[in-house]
Amino acid sequence: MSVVVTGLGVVGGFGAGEDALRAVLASGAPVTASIEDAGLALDGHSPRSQRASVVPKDALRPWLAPGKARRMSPASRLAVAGSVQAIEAAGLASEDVAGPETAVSLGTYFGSTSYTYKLLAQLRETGALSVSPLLFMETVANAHAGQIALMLGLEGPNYTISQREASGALAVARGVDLVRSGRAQRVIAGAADEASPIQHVVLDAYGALARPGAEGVQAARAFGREPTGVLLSEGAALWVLEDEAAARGRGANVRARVLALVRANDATATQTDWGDGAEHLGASLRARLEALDTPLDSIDRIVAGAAGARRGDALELRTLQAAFGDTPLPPLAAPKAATGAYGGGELGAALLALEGADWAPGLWFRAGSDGWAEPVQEAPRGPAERVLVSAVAAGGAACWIVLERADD
Amino acid sequence: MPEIVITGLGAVSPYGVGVAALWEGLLRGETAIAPLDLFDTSGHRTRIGGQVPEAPRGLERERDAAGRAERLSRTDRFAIDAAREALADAGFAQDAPELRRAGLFFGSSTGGMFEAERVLLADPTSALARRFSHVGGQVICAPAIALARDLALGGPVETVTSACSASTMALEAALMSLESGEVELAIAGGADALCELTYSGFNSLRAIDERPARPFRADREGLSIGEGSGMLVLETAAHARARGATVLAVLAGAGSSCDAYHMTAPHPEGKGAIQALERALGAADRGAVAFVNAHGTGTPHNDVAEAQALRAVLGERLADVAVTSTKGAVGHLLGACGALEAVVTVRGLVEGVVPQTPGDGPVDPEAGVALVLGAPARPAPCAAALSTNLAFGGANAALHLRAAGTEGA
Amino acid sequence: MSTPPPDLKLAIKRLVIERLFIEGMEPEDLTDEMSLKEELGLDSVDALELAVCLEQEFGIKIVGAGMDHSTFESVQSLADFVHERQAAQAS
Repeated sequence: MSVVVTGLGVVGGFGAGEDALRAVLASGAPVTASIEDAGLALDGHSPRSQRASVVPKDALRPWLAPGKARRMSPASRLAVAGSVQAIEAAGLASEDVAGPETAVSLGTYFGSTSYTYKLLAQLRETGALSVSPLLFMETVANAHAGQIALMLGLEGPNYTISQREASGALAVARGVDLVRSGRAQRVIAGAADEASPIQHVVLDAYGALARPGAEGVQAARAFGREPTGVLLSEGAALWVLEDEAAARGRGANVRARVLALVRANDATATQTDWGDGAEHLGASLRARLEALDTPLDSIDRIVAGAAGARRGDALELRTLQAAFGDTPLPPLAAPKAATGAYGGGELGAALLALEGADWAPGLWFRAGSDGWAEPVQEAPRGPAERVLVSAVAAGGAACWIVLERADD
Repeated sequence: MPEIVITGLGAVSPYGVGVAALWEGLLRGETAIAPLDLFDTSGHRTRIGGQVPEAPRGLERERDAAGRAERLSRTDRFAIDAAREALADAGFAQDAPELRRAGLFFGSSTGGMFEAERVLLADPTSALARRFSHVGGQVICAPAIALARDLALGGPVETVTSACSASTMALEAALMSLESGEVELAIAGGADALCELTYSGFNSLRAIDERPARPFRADREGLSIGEGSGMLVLETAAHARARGATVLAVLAGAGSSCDAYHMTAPHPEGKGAIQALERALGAADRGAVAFVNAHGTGTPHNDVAEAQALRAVLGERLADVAVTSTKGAVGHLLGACGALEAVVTVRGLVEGVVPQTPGDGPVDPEAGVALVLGAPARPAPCAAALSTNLAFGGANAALHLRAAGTEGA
Repeated sequence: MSTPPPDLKLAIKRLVIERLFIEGMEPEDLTDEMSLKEELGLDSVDALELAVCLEQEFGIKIVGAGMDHSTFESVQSLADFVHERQAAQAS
């Protein structure tokens, strides 16, 4: 049984909707605001990172009226707006999706850190009796997936997966499994993450975030020999996954077929860092794709999760090289420099890569040896037959998805 | 599709470390819910819960098998202890080569939040400046990462965070990956530790009872929060046979659903729970179900909604099916409860024994379930059982387990 | 029993609007008798939130899970409740 993608909903610092995503990928430069303007400043802290990519005010309005969002955390709002957008893009009406045949599988790296922080502030400042039930409800990590289901009446399985940078890909993979195993006829699957002041401060203290360089410009660059750090961002990216026969039966626009899923773990990683398990990860990827009859030399684009974390980017590149072995890597893109590190922008980008959107050359790379790569002079053009979506997380989890063009 | 079996069990609970401590505690019928001393409860609405005795209270430096230092949280510790027990129970050495391809499907609701909140509840500015690792390292998936590292697992690793159904759904995810052939061996379960975030949060919803929870009783007034871990080893029946493993039970089915009704209250007729149960049972003979390990939190709403769901699925037979809940004994382990309750259910099938629910007081006639009281039940035959969990956000999940020896049934 | 003072009702209106995230509404738009359930769509969790707010703001204690639904019917009923509790706790 074949699972296809029939809709996409995206929101991010770049705005909302596919055209906004296309534009930021074409420019290659993220849409950012100062930490102050992004609402991420935190009293008593002077982080080194100076810019972040946050969703513009009112960007969600076409899909989520403020009145309906009353009890939603920022993360829930992003997740719901992205889902409504995805359903509409798939040509489905709310009556079509309500019921037990539609599932949700949402990845989130952080959950609602803003609400968690506020709740802990209440605990600290005014005591346990002052804790707000409305805040608490939304600090539960599955609140966002629950809000999607509540808004759209989705009674199928409701999964929330959190596994650092692999959250979105793993959620999509689990969504595919739900359709393949007959647990759902369609799944809204993807990622949602909000940016918050406490998150910015913590990530910055870890040295994870990009900061202004010698010329005062802050830019996250993937695969560099010199680490840049990542761009803090927020957003949501949701795919509508469906059983292919059902999708074709209703005349849906089939954007991609999910050909293969691979999941593996690098047990040399610590809880907060990447490890050195490129050989094992690469061998797992290769072996699984061979077992699934999806040879690596049939892949013509790779969309990587690399975002500017030196060890992570290096591990991912070495893993891909270990998997491909003697076969040269196809054109390799790292869209997070434009879409930001969190919020699933890379899931939206992967679909667009299959369809041949023109991206800035700075987002495409040619691999060197030793875990680094250089941006190319000329970006590849035109659609691809097969795209490998790659996610290698700190902590060790990795997930790859092969998408195939399906306009037959 | 291959049959999937359970070959190892591990647990950490308020009765102590190990499945034996848990099982014996349950059969003694005395609740482990008692005044907490993990944190100061004097400012909270309630004072009691299910606390794991003698467990570390802060990040502990540990050297792993390869001699590398790690900082383990309370939750990490629970998960590792339970998983090691489960692997040993299944007959695997800790460095067994099969672990290289095994998957880990893990559920938690707050990961290492207890340690993270210690920092954030202290003076925030100076504390944050010094102890970021306590905050940043304690994401929800941190225990799964620590566990995968401890066991050198190289297959799929996935943390499901669907609140009270998290580890039940982790078991469902494991079942899917085993049935599809992605893995032949999986470790699945969950862990959660007490923390003031969830303790004060559930209290703000007035969901916690001042007294130990009394699931399905007429005088129930709310839940008790607990902590711990349940871990299970799952494999294909063929894989188990090939290595001569003892099969403890068959994971015959798992199902999940969403109420899509309300963010905290369950559907009053248990509509989503019915769905999860029906999906777990599939076409199996409902008449073979000998007992149910209910979610049974002890809140006025949950228990009656759940009873309705059980009645809808089991029909008239419900009166003959023993119903138990561990939540009056160990509390509600949040993300870990599904797995811990699965451990108890499997043990129940192995022994043909269903633990009683502690305490006295009449069963709520509106619930109308055959609650196990006073002494353990010994249903005969004891061929199959159900375990249910109904979570916040309406995420429901259920497991259908069959006794060993029914393989191929 | 004396009637609750107007500033009490205004404080309650502010709490309802701010703590329950009611957008686009000013205290003067919220009348004393408006049904909070029917007209603002508030439910049991909102009631629990208001309970916390009332305890914190007015120093009263609201005990138990089975709070009376009629208390949360309107701003007027909330104000009557707080006023009565304050009087009871003072004596």
